[in-house]
Amino acid sequence: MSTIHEVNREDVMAFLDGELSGDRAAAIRIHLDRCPECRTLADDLRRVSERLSAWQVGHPSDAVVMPTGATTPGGPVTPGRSPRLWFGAHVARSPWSVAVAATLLVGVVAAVNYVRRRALVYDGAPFVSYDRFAAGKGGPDTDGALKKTPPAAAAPSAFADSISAQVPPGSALQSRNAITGGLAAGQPLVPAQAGAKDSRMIVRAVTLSLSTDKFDDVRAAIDRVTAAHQGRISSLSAGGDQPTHRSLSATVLVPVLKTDAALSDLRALGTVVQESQSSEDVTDSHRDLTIRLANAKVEEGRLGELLARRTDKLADVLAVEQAQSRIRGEIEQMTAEEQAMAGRASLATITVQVEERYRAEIALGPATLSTRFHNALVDGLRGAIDAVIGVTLAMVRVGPAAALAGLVWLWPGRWVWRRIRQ
Amino acid sequence: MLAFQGGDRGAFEALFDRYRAPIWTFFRRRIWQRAEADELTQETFLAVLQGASRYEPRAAFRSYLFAIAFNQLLAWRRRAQRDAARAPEGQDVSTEAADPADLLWVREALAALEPDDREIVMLREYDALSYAEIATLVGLPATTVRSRLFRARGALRARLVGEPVAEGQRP
Repeated sequence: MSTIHEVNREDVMAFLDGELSGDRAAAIRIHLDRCPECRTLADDLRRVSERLSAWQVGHPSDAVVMPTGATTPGGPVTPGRSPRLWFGAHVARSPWSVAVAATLLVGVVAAVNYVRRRALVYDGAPFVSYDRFAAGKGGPDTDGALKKTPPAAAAPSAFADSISAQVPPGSALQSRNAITGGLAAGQPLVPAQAGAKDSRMIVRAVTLSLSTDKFDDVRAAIDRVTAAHQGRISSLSAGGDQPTHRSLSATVLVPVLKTDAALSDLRALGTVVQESQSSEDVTDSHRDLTIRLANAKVEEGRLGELLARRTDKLADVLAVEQAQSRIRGEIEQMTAEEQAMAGRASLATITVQVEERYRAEIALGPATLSTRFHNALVDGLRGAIDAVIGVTLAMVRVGPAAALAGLVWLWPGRWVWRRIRQ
Repeated sequence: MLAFQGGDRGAFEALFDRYRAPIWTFFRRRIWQRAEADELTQETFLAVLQGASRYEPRAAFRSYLFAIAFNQLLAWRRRAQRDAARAPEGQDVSTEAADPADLLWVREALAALEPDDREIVMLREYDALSYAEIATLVGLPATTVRSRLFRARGALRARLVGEPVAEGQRP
C-alpha cells in the first residue's frame, strides 16, 4: 500500500462511503477499473464492513415507548416509561437530583396548602368549613361571598383525570386512579354522620377562653349547651382558689354543622378573653387510607381463593396462611384508623376554659377610699394567714428530715464544740 | 420536526417510529446493560421533546438526534466513571449473530482500536453517519475524521479480512 498514486487511498474509502461529489467519484471509479491495488483496497474495505455487520444487537424492547403528555412542542412531557425504569435509574445515578426534586415537591405541597388555607380564611375568621360551601346556607359569618366554589375543590378531579390519561391501561396505578377518580366524581368521602355534602374532610378545633362573674352557673350552662346541640362532653375539670378565683376547663364535641351555634351559646357564658380556631384537611390522608384498605381487602380475597384450592405444597399453604393473617391484621388496623379519622372529621372539638373574674369579696361597691382600705385589710389578713399556713406546711414538709439530720450530726457536733471550747 | 413545532403531534410519533431502533442500537452497542440502553433512548427522545420549541433546522434532524444521543452517551460515561459499582461498558453485550465466533472476532478487533478511532468507525459503520456528522459529534475537523477512519479501517482490515482463525492464531 505504499505505491505512489494519483489517487489518495482515503479517497477510495470516501468513494465507497459515498462522500465524494459527482466528478471526483467518477474519477475514482475510473481509477479503480485501472488500478488493481486500489481495487484490492476497495474490496478489503468492503469486506471489513461485511465483517463488522456480523455484530447485530436486535431490536428495542417494549420498555422503550414514546414520551407522552406533550401536545405541543415545549409543553409538559412525561417520559412514558415504566416507573421502575425511570426512578431506579435516576436514583442510582444522581441522588442529589432526587434530593432537589424532593425539596421542590415539598415546596409545591406547602404552597398548595398555603393557598388552600388562604381560601379558607374569610373576614378575619381563621376558618370557614367547606361544608358551608356545600350547604350554601347563611349564618353569622357566611354570606354570598362564601358560597362560591373554592378552587381547591375542583383540583382532585382534574388531577385524577390528568394522571389517568398517562397511565397504561391495566396497570396498578390505573386501578388506584380508578378509585380516586370515582371518589372525585362524586362518591362521598365523608361518612354520612358528618352530614357534609362536600367531599373534603376537615378536622376542626376551637379553643374558647372566657371570664365570668357567674361562675357557679357555668357548669350547668355547658351541660345545657352541649345537650342542646347533640354533643357530648369529652372531659371536664375544675379548680382554683375558692371562692375568689375558680376555673373550669371542658372539652366539648359537637357535630360539625352545629359548631357555630354551639360556639355562639358558649360565648354567651361570659366575656370572651381569647378565641382561636384551627382546621386540618385530612381528605388526602383519608383517601389514601381508604384505597389501602380496599387493596388490602382485595388481596385478602385472593389469598382466600388460593387457600381454598389447597393444591399447593404444605409450605406454600402455610405461607399463604401467614400472609392472610398479616393482611387481616392490617385491615383491622386500617379500619380502626379510618373510623377514628371519620369521627374526628364529623365532630368539632371545642375546648372551653372559664375563669372566675377575680374580686376581693368585700369590694363589691364603687372603689371609695374606705372600701380600698377595707379591701387592703382583707387582703393583708389573707396574706398573713397564707404566710402562717405556708410556714406550717414548710415545717411539716422538712421537719422529719431536719430531725433526722439533727440526730445524725448531734454527736459529731458535740465533739467539734468541745474541741473548740478546749 | 418542523411539523411538530407547528403543533402536529403525529409528526413526533412518526419521528419516534423512524428513529427509535437506530438510536437504541446506537446505545446498545456501547452499553452492555440493556436497561441502560432503554433508559438513554427514552431520555434522548425526551430531550428532543423538551427542546422542540428551540429547534432550528440548521442540519438534518438525524444529525440533531444523534448529537443529543451522543451527548447522552458522554454524560452516561462520566457518571459511569464516577460510579465504581457500575460495570464497564462493552462487557457482556447481548448480541445476535449467526456465528458467535464471528461476533467475538469483530468485537475483539474493535476493542483493539484507540477509543476515538473506535467511536468514529462505529459511528460510520453501524450508525451510518456522514463524515461531516461524525466531525460535528466528536468535535474534530472532517478531514481528521476521514484520516482517522482510514487508519482505523486499516487496522480492522489487518485483523478481520480473511477467514476467522482459531483462538491464539488471530493477529
